[in-house]
Amino acid sequence: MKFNKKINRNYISLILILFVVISSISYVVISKVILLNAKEKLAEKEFMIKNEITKSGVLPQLFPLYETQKIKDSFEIKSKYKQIYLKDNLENEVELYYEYQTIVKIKDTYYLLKIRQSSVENEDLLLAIILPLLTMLFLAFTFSYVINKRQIASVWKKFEYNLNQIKKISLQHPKELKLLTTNIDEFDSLNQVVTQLINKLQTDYNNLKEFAENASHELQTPLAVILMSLEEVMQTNLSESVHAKIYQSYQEIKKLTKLNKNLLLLSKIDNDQFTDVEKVDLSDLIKQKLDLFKTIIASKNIKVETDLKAMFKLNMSPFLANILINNLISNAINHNINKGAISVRTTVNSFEITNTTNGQSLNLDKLFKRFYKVGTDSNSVGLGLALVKKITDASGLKLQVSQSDSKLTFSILI
Amino acid sequence: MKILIVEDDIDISKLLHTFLTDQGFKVSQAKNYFEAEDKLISYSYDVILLDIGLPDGNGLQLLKFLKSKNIESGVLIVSAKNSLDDKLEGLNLGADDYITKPFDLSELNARINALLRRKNYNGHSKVIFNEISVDTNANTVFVNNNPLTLTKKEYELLLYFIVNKNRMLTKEAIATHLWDDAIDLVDNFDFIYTHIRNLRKKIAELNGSDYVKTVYGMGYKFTDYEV
Repeated sequence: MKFNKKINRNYISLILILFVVISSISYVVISKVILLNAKEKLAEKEFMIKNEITKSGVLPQLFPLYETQKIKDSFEIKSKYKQIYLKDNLENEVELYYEYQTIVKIKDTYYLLKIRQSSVENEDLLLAIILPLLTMLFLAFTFSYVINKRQIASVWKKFEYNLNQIKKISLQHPKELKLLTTNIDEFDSLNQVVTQLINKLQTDYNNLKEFAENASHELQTPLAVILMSLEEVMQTNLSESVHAKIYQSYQEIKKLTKLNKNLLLLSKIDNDQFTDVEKVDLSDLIKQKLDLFKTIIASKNIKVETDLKAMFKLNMSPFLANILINNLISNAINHNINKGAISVRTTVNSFEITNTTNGQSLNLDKLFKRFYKVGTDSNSVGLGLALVKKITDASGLKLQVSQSDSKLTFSILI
Repeated sequence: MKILIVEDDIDISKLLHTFLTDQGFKVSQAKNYFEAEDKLISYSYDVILLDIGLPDGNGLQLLKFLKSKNIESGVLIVSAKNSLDDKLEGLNLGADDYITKPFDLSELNARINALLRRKNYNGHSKVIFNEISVDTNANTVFVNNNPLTLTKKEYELLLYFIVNKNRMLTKEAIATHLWDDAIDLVDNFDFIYTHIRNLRKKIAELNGSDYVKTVYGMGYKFTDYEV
């Protein structure tokens, strides 16, 4: 959940609770105060009436406000204070009154006094006090909420901007990272840490990239020297056994060269150095490669069956697409049997290549690992399929492999 | 034919010098930008072998120098990098071809010869070996003045053989020449035997001699010497 939303939600819940609590307490307290006030007034009236009776012996009557009557004997009054409905003769309405009853003894005579006050007036008073109070409380809360929200929003805007800047960071296409200062210690501190981290990452990345490339290129020169020297030696007249050894060394150097080239490629793909994405027609590329390899395919008596009518086009690096198809088809040729078969099929968003095998069950989990080799083929360096996996991963494609009845199938899907 | 080798690695420069001299070229060497510039100002060369990886980015600088002086020599870039970007950059800056280290000397030889033929459009377009004559402009082959019909691969193979005559060519080198880098991936090179056999058969049909000699299971040699 977003910070603002969470804070606001908490804030509003808290405010509501506070509001309800304060309202309730205010109501109760003010009611009590008003009640006490009413009781005082009634007591005053009682005092006045007692005086009146004592002085003049007249029984004051003013319905509904007070009634007095002589009584024979004192008795216990159950509830001195109670609320009753009375009809007001003046206004011809039934209203609620707050009544106080008491028995007084004046000069050996008992009198029953009933003194009343209009409840409605009390209630009006209550409202007159509570409502403004609660309104002001509400306004205060709302005001503080709005101000608070505005302030927070401005800080968060800067944070979001910085977050976006960080998201845009690309180690391959480095640009200076400019983060906004928020004047909030925690955020500025975070900015600093992130900037330092990114700089370090960039440096490390550059170093690693350079190292991998330099190491690879440095190797090329001695390899070239050895290769050319061996080639010259092979031109001379030597015994067959010596020639065989020289030739073997030559082949190993060729293998080293291949290994070097492929390792560099793997490292480059890892470092995401192939960002030249274009629309590539894989169906067409497959046709080209099958044509290129036709002699080799024929020499192993392999039958090729294709269904390339559907055009499988997608966005990827053409350089990598080339290697991908090369490697898959070469694999299908190299690990095939004499008089075997290869079949390739395309759909608009996938392609599948199947080759017959010698029936040996393959460990499909390990197939794409570097240097995993099947059989004792000495010329295989074991990186072909590792490259395939790396390329599909880097290009956002799905790679699947399955085997059944001496057939191995690779599928590439978007 | 004069060649200038611009290469900072002494061992490679020496090997190239020996090989190219054996092939009949007049070879000069330069090990850095300044030596190269010196030589280019004083002499003219038919082909320049330029190591683009000269220290301090001087390889590219030399290329720009060549272009600015409108020097007509054919430029073959030799590079340790197999980067597409570098290739394109080099070709855009006026280089004629690009070869990646390590390479077979026979491949280098074939490239230099192709470069020479392209540059000297009028002369040097015919490649002749005894009764076999190849017209590289018309892409036609004659054996004893009779036309020989070849597939594209057979034609390229024949040209490769003649240009590298008397030299032992490994199966790997031949395969790489005919199929470029794609061939790296195929494990066994014996399939080229088919192409060679077909070529020999077609030449024999026109009464041409069979100059293709097999060498100890390593490769082939195109020669009229008795082995």
